[in-house]
Amino acid sequence: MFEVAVAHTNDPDTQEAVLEVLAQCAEQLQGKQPQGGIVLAAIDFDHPLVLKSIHEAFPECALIGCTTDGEMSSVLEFQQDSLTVMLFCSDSVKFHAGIGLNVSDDPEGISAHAVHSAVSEMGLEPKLCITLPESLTTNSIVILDGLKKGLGSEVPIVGGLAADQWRFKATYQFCGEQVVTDAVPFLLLAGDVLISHGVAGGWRPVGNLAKVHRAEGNVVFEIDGMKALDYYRQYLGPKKPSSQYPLAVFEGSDHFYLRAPSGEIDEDERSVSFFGDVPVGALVQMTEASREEILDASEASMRAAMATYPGKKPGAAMYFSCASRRQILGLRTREEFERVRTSMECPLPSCGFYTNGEIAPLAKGLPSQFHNETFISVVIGTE
Amino acid sequence: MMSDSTEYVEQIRRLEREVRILQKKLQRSEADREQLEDTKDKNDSLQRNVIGELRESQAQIALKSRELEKTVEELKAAQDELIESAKMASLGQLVAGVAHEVNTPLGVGVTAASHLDNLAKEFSDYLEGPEVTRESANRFIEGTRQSSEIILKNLRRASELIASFKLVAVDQSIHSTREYNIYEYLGEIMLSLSNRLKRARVEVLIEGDPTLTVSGDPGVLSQIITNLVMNAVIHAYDDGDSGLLKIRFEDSGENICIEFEDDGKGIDSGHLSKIFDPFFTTRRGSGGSGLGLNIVYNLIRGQVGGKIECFSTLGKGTRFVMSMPKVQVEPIMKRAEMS
Repeated sequence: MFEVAVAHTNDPDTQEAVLEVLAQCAEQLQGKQPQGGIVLAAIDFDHPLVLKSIHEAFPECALIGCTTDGEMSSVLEFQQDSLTVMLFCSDSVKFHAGIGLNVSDDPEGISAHAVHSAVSEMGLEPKLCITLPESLTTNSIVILDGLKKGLGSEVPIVGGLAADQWRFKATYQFCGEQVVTDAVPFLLLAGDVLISHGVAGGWRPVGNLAKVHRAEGNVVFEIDGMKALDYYRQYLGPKKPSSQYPLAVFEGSDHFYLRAPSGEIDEDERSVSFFGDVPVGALVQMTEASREEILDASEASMRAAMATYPGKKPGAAMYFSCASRRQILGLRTREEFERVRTSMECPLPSCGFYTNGEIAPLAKGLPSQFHNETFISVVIGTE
Repeated sequence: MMSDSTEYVEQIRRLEREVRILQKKLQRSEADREQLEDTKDKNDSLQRNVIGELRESQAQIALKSRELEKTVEELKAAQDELIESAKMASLGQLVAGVAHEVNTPLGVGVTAASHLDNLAKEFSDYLEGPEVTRESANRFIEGTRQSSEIILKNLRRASELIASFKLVAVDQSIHSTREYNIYEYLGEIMLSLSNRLKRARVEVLIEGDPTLTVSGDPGVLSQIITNLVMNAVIHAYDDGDSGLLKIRFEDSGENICIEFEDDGKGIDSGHLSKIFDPFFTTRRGSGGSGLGLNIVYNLIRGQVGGKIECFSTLGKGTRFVMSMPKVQVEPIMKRAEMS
């Protein structure tokens, strides 16, 4: 048995929103107690109230969540300033929630320790780790390294980085009743769970190739003999570099991955910070994306997840879409959910959010990676 | 009354909710508009600057391509010069062959002539002596006849050799179209190369219809076959090895098919695709220009309008299969030069 309830409201009043969400869940669950769940909330809600109320209603539920840049679900499709909840009931899948706090103090160590302890507490071999980590206070790649270390390389990790509606001030992570910042919450799934996923981007390189001359971790100082900020300004004008304009970082002549500016710059040093490390000596190129290409990629991501699902009947879908996609898509953002929904073979209860970075392996069996500008579809079930 | 008021309360509650949602949406819409405008400005700027870069790259490409065109022209001129000097070198070899071949009959002729001179001196002295017999007169006549025959035979041989060298040499240097017998002409070419073939201990077997004629420039065929023979003599056999070259030709309707086969070392499969490339040689250090087979290729493809393919098995030998029209039209370039 694997049942999923999805609730979604766009009432901005926290008290009312929580009541509505709980009512929708109760109606779908019909007295059953959920064992695991995910809460995705816009930044303006009273998050402690949200978590407290859900916890009171379902005290046994292993719950994680985060703030977002936009929410989507099979109930209300794409929304902003909304609250969506996905709850799981199953007799064959076990759920266990955990969190690493003050993760910026030691991103790798804290993440590894937290997830390792959670696995020990659960006493089962996890099959999937869903994580919704902090995006602004620390390097997310190092958090992911820690999770991989704590879980072992066999367990796939998927998820998205918490966001704050493009404000880049503070994001919040949830675990049980806790609402914190600078943390890495995760939900472990064990038992008879079947999983598949798809990753697709849509960005392509434009302009001239350039070489990274000086960088330290995720801060780039010089590109092609130019200060990194000036390199960006020659393309974008006086505006601040933002994550819709990632660099294509080339590995070989054809293959590249994307690194998006985090929005943080240093006017004195004229440096640009990225969501993820940019290696010194790497060949990079400016990128752009058209709305059509972004939407095609979203669809391709869901098609890949559906095509590789190892069972016959998927039970639920989750999405992690980069906030930069929303910035380029503008009013057509709602089409992204629409395209993904129509590319499912059967309608599935689903929810997801616009993130500050995505996590998933590039393909099944490969190690999980940190991505920018992608749409990640995850399909789970037991049959 | 009671139910009315509950309904109103419910309606108000719903309306309040709608208002809250709409207010929030409005607020969000303002914020989104600002963000989207910002994105649009950045997009516009990106497009402008990428287009600028493209224009710059195009200008650079145009400049580079002009430079490349110039370099190609210079290289072409250098290649033409090299091909010309390679042709002159093959004429030089021909002249050396002529000298060697003609030297033998001329040497025999000179010996016979000096013998004749001695005979004449002896007979003159004899005439002044006391006794002149018929027998000695007959001996003198016999001696002079023999010497004259030797002289005549060798001068004819020299004359024949010079005639065939002249034919091949003139054909190689002055191009003109005529009808010629291919079997006989291949024989003439081999005669002109006989010195080199003898030194290399390589024999040549020519097979084909001895009456078949071709209309074209015999000089081109001479250059093709000479270069193939020289290529085989230099590359197919190690010093001291003997070999057999087979040249077979046959009529195949509008075309004539010529096979040139050696029984030498064969060509490495890695080299096979490059042998017709200009300047490709495995003997750069020992004076190979790498132009021999390129000239063959260009003559067949360009001048003759034919095809050439090469097949080779290591340790067994190499076979060139050529096909060329029986009636070859003069290349346009040459006609223009002549007019």
